[in-house]
Amino acid sequence: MQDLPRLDDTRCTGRGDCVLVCPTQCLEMAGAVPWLPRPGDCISCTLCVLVCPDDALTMTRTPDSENENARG
Amino acid sequence: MLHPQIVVFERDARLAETLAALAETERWPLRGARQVELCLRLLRQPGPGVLVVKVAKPAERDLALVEQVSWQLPNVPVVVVGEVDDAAVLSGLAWDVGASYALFPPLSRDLLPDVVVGLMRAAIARTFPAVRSTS
Repeated sequence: MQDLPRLDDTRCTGRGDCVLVCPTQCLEMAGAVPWLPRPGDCISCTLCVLVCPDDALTMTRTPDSENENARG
Repeated sequence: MLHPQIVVFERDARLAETLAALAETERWPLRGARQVELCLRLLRQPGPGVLVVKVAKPAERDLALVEQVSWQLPNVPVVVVGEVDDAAVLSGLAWDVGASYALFPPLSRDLLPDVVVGLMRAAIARTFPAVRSTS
């Protein structure tokens, strides 16, 4: 299992601070909102959550799988 | 936050092994499921995803899952992979129940990673029209 950032898009104002602060560059902007194109690179450091001025990000645990092979 | 994922539904882990290098390269989570409910739960997470289903005899349960996903989660492309006889009949059935792609032996090379990459990139483009995948 892996903790990944979860976006509340009703709060996000699209400043992109989370993308800039991410140490592994696993976040990108998709138009006005961030997304996570490379979840395998996320190290769950929570910097994106801490830096968000809108409190739009929280960490959430991804569902279990029976044989998870990736780093996800 | 929306993110891509590959879900593999199979009784063993051979297809997952085939896709492991791709998942590692693209940094996409590769999740395996042997139970229908878990498979659906994984796929219901928002974000672009691709489902790979290995059809084994008896094929009814596997094809029922494909049909269920195509009805309930129409944005999730489904790749059906067979290791069985009657490829023509089963690939026809797979198309009928909503598969996006069907691969049955004999194959000249392993096409599955290329198919999954293509379908995932299309799914990402549908989810985020502003994103241009370059990887």
